[in-house]
Amino acid sequence: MPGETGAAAHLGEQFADLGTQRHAATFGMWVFLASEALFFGALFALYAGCRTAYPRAFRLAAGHTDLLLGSTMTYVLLTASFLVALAVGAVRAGASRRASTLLIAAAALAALFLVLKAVEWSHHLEDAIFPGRYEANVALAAPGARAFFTLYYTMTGLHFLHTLAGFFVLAWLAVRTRRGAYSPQWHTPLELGGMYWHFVDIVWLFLWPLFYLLR
Amino acid sequence: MTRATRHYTVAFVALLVLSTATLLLSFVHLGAFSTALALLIAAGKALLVAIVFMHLAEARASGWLAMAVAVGLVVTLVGLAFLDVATRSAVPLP
Repeated sequence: MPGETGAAAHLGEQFADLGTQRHAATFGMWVFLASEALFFGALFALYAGCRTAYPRAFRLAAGHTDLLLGSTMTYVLLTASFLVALAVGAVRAGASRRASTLLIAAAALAALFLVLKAVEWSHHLEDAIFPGRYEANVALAAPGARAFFTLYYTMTGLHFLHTLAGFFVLAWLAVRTRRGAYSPQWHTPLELGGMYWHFVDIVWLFLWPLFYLLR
Repeated sequence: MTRATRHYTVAFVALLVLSTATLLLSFVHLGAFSTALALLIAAGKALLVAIVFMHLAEARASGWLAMAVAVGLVVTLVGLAFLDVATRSAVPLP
């Protein structure tokens, strides 16, 4: 079968078989995502400390984030994740063309998320909401409110960079899938890229209630 | 519809329902419990994404181990940061 011959070409000499190689790659991805979770975890810990110190100021400041845009972004990311999962399922079933279309749709949703986030930031900047000591919105002059928006810009900014990376990963995977680079026997890059995208989604699932649903 | 597609679809619908529940609950005043409840639902959604979309269900023990260690460390870090600030009291001057 051509698929199997193609798959064998990807076998590294240090691995006994493709299954072992795939397991090593997947485990490596889990470890990478675990380190990413700790990276974000430090910021979530900072959020927990600041919010406990300034509960009222955090509620007041959270009223300045856009609930409609924030919630829309949640549904956009969840749908993108679903499409990526379907794409992996399609490649496993040997339907590369369909997988590529699904990945293009997911990348388009990633781009939509980035645009919506940029629109929301631009609204904040119009309202003179800036991070840290640059805060110029008089309603948010209290230290707690400043801490909220400093954390907001840092955490959503870091997440934005991850989403941007995810967008390029999805676009690259869509092109590779369209060119028939992946088969049911070998599609490790697609599995790993998909895992990365789902991680980006998971981080947002926590950012959303902490910055938008607080009232 | 294949078995895998059915699983992904069920998980996606569950994620949409849980997200909408979180959104609606944010309009109900539950006091101190509102954030705890929202985070609990978020954790449930994250687990669903990990198990179904990220194929943790198919992973060997090593995958579960890496994820469990990360979750344990993040929960410890965030939990202790919260407890630290919550249990501080002003120290009287001698």
